[in-house]
Amino acid sequence: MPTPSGDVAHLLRRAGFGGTAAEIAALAPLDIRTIVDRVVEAPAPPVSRPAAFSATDREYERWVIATHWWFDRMATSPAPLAEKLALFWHGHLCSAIDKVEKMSRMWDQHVLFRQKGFGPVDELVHAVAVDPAMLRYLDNDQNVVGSPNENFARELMELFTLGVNEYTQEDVVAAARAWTGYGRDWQTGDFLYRPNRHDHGLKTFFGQTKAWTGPEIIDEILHGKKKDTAARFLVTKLWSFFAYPDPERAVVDALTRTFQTSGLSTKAVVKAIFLRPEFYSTKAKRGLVRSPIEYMVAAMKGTGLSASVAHPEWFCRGMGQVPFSPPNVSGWRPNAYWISASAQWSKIGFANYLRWKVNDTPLLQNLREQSPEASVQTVLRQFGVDNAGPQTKAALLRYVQRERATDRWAERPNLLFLVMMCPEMQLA
Amino acid sequence: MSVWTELETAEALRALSVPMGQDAASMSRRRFIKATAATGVAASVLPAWLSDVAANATPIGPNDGVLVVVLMAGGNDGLNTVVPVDDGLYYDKRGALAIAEGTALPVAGGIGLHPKLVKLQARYRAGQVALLQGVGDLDPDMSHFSAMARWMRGHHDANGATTGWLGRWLDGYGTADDLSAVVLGESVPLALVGARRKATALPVSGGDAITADRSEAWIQRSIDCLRDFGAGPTGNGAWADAIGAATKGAVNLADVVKPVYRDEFPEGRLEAQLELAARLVNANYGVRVIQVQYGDFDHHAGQAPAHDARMAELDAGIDRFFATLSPAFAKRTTILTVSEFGRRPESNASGGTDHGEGSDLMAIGAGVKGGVYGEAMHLGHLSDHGCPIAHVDFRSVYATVLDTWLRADSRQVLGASFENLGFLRSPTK
Repeated sequence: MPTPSGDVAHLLRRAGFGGTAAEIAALAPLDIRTIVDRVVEAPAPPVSRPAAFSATDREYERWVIATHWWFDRMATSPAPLAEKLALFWHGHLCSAIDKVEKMSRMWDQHVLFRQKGFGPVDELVHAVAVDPAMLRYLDNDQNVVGSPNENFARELMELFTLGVNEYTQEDVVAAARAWTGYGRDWQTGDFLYRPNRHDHGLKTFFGQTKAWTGPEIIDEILHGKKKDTAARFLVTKLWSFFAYPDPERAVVDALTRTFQTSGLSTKAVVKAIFLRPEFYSTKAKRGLVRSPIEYMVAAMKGTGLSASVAHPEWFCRGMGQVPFSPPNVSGWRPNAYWISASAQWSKIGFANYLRWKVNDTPLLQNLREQSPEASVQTVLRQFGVDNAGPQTKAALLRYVQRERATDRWAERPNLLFLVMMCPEMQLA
Repeated sequence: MSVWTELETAEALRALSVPMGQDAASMSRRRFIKATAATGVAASVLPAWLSDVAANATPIGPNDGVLVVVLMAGGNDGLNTVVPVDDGLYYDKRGALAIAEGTALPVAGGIGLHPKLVKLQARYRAGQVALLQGVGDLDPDMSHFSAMARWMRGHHDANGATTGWLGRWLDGYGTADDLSAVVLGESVPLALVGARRKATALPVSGGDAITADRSEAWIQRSIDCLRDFGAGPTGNGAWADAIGAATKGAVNLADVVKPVYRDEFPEGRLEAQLELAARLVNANYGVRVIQVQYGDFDHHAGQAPAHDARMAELDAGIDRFFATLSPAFAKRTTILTVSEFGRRPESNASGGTDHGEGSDLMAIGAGVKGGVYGEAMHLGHLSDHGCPIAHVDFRSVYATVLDTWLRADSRQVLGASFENLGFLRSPTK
């Protein structure tokens, strides 16, 4: 059974950063299961560190290189879901360059999100717990017997796996003691477990007293008596990222079953999300605002400009989302968080910059030969905006008509700018 | 890259992410709420602020106080900010992290300021600094996010409210599209989100889009189109409507605030924020409340150099603010510092301190009755978690500000009566 092209476009926006008109047309004749399989199973090209990254030792330059690399990859990868999931995990199991200080460690963590981001969540959490960027970011590299540092232990439960009020301060203390000794080699900065810095004593965690180790804490959280809480917490976060915040109980129940019967597989949950009817509801289609990274990638796709030309790194901070630098350990928030006069000014600045860069390319040079209506439609399609409402269409048409009455030379750059700024372009 | 700290909490997130109905019925409900907003009927159901971005400038009155909140994100170490220099327990517990004896800047009996707060010491001696000791959440929560959310809500029902204390003040003040409350940053924290209104977020510096010349016709036409995107419902749901309205609002607001962005800004982020804050007050757009936020103060490790740097930034920022502030507003403008909690007296083995409970706040300005308020926290009587125990409810600081400085009804904003601590005069020209 063919799939409505509006559903295909929605899926490609959420599972990636939007599809072209040709991609949508090619998929629409297929059954939704087949389309979802293709989206989820698309093999991601291998990742290797850009040569320029290794060629410099200046951290800011490395940040720019890694940011460009990731934006280009998001805009052009044949497997954009892998990029979307890397963005999800980056905003969930957060570390930030501000504190980690070494972009090489942020890069390695980013690669880790790609290697384990689709698989069982317990493997990912175990790996991130001893990832050098995380060890630094939440101070577990300072957590030693006799003087436990609670930072990682608390956030592991509060923000990564269970949610607030699901543990006591005593559990935090016990988990911090269990995680003592899992630090970093002072010379290399690599993960190093030092048995003599580990607290081998008895600790009481979730009511069980034994000589807990760090990894056992993660296993207890994800597989012990709190396992349902953890599963619900994680599938809710995934649904909120891909569909809309505050999912209905029935959705969470079903996804939790999928998650648990699949051995905590992220891939299984993501696939199940894309197959739920609620995912294709009007509520879902209108339920998320594009984050600045998603927005800038969509603009790059529409204009065909690479990151080295579009310079997303100049505009991301003003919009409120800096790659490799989530604002704090709770990550980025959705929707209202991205809407302010301040953020809109930054988008105006970015779209304004891009329109002049496009002017140097052959893109859409024949706009003025089309009717005003066709001109508007062409530019909307160029950016994958298939759902522009009547007000947006009327505003764009009015602009073209006024432009054609006098200067008309500005039509191409202005129309590109205005479509990048229309409300529907800023919806996820 | 500088540290970049935003303060919305997990709870703030939920409060900020208002679930929006998408169908025609909820659209008409929204219009109904907007129409009845003046009476506050059903105001908590769906906030009207999603479609309002301030653009009207009305000057403040001669006796209107202006409040500038400096939010120190991550839990500032009050003990190393307002130092109990004569308390032996302080040195015993802090060890190497203690501010060395004789180096704190003396301000009052037994109290010294962090050595970097040099200009603040001078201000204290001029009678323009109130040190509020032992302030905190009497029902402390050691999670940054829960604690910050409780501070931001600032309500009698500290976990139940979905709005912030300054947001609720804003609900009862001014008109829907004025500039009464401003936050300098990319988004609006819960503290400044009300049921009907929220503060306007202004970028900290620059913004070519704000200062750009728009006089040519072809530019004007595209600006008109941006306004058209927010003229009415998009037909694509409440978020699209909010985006359209914010775009229109940003364009309109740029016309108003352009002048304060013309001159260069200083390098440091807090200094730039406070420079902008002073310019906004001077421009007299009707701004009553400004919030700036900086950090990070979450010094679990390697605290000394990081906290020194934050204190130096604070000293420079406050000095910059008052240097820029016009004398016409000097007696009507107060800075208040807040943070979600203090830190424990015992340092940890990483040369840092873990999350604490009570702390010390400061109010600064010519409208402040300078001096020390409240007793220092007792370092010999710690909570179960080893933290000094707050004895002054942070909401009584809010009550003082609301009643005396903003001349509002603190009972209404806070949901109950809290003590006025008396550290402020009535604002006057």
